[in-house]
Amino acid sequence: MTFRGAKYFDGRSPVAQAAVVRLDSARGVAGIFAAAESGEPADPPLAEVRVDALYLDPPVGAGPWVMRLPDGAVCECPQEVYTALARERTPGTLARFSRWAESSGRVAVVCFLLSVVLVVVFFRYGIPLMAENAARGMPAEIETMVARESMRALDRTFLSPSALAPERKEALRDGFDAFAARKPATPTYRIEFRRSRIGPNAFALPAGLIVITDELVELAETDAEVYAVAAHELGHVHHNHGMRSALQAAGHFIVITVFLGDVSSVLSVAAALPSVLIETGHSRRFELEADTFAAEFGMATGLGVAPLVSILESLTDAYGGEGKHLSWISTHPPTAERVELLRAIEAEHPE
Amino acid sequence: MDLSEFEAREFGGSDSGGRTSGRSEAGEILREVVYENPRFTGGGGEYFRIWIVNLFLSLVTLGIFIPWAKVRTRRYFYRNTLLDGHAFDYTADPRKLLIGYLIVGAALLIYGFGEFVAVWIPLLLFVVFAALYPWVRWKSLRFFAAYSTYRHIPLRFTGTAGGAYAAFLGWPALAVVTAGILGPYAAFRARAYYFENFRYGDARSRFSATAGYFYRVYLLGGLAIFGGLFAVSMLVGALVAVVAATAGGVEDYGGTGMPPLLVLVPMLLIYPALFLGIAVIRVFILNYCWSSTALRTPAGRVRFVSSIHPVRYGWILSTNLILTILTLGIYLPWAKVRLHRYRLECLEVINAPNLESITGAGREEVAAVGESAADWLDIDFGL
Repeated sequence: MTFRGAKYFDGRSPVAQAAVVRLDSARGVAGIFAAAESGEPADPPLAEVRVDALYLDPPVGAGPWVMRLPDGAVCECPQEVYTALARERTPGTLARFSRWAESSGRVAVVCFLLSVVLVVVFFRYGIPLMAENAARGMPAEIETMVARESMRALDRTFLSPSALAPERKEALRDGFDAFAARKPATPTYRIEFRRSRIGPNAFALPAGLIVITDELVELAETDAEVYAVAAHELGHVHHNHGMRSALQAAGHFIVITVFLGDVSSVLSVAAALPSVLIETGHSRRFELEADTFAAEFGMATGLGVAPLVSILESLTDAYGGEGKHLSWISTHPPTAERVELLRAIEAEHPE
Repeated sequence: MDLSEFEAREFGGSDSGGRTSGRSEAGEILREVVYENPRFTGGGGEYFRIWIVNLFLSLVTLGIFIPWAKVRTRRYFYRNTLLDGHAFDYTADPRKLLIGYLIVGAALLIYGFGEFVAVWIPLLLFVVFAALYPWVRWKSLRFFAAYSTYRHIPLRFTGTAGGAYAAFLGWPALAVVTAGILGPYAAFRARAYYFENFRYGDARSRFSATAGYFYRVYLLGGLAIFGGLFAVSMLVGALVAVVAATAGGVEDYGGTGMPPLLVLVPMLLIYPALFLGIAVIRVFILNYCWSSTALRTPAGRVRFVSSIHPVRYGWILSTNLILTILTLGIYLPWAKVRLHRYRLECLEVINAPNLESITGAGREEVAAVGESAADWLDIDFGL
């Protein structure tokens, strides 16, 4: 079989030679000949190669069909040469598969839909599950180290030493301990107080470290309200939310970097956006879990649910009401939703 | 040496027609000079299919396929870009890249999680990274060149590791020490490191740029950015004053500070302004560098004229970004094709047929760690 219209490059010179490919199936040899003026192949051949030594390199998209010779020479040839050769010598399975998949619109649609499903499933279930397992297997020493480092970082930025009287702090700690002692299987915890630049707030770090701001203690109308907040934070400790969310955030960062690493740096900014939304979605779930724990804690210890409801409402007022916040992006669910959940749990536990 | 001989040597003979060609003012005496832009023969729809298939395979293999996907993407762009009727190609072996990816991936993992264990871990890694950075860039340039071919002859990068340390560590350090006075010079050295060290076969690149232009661009660009920032801060100040006056005192906002909208809007203005300012500087520098570069082939010089328009470029980048966000990423392949097309449209090659006169040096094997690192770290070659 003879095929005209090929281009031969010897791999050392950039000059393209008009070439003719002659395929000898009986001997399993492909000869590449310079094309004479008439278009006929001119002897001797430029190259003669066993068909199974050829590397067939199909185009990506459109573009030339390429076969590579073992000595580094390259032949760009018409597709028919390629088709004929492919019968003798199958090109790389991956190259063939990619070419088939990439030229079909139907495959593209299927890939698109499956990709969306994969991404959603992975972010919604995969990463949280992996983070949960990793957090469970985390050695206590590391958790303590993480908590210490985070506390140091917070002390440098948002927090300053508490201005509460030592007796007051002691009283609050003892008061909460008394409630906690009534509930079996409470995780170990330690309560710290800090003055803050971010207003009334409280949060839980890994290793059971609970931080309550002076502003929150001042905002609370009764000590029971402070205990309710501590119970909510204890819920975060119980579910190991601090470590899990840190691990999840790291997981998101890695996945997004890996998959969008090749887009230009401008688009990387856009890549951060879904990550923020995912993070807030997870943290809302964590808040509801912590509320559930706090409500159950309240019912089991006699603290009740009412203090948490009233401090939530005071906090909402302190931050200027729901309306002034972009509540869909906020890390906490709307107060009404949280109160409703608390009431529902209360209703399930008839005294 | 008379003029025609000079021209013949400088620009080479060209009898291949079919491209836009111009004649010098001297008319008949001079040989023809051939101007041509590289063309991209692919398209967004075609690239979308390639992109989505490779993205899916990368996802389903938990990232193992990424090197194959990257090579395929680059091959698509190279093989469908034509200059003087011939395509480029990218012949890197994804398996080599995979090893590099695993090494860099492990380092990133330690960096990402190390932060949670102790502050000194990322700090230490940062120092190690800074010390390795020039080496990574050097390796990456060599890899990138060795597997990028035109007319099936690979490019070569002949810069040295020492040169990379001077360009990416030494000069930037001096720029910091001199409080930025040497900044534009350092930027010039870094660009020169790329542009003067490329070879195509036995044709060396020559880079005739001077640091003076860098100083002018950075000075004017810097002034424009600071002017913009100043204007925005004045605007914010005025707004605050107005709001404070109508609300009866700033202290009303107490601990929470100003109303969020008042801060948000100017902040949203600052970023595009800053982004645009930096883009303008980069575009001017890029144009200047390409236009100061020539390849000396046996048949004569091949030169480049880059004429990217900062406003048009900024428009393409920002609309690409917005459309990509609005379509949740689906527009990304079209965005990439659009940017690639525009870059080629703005790159004129003078006397590309002279490239046929070079002699290639055969292939060389180059390890891929640097290239993968550059990919991870999103290092842009600006080519």
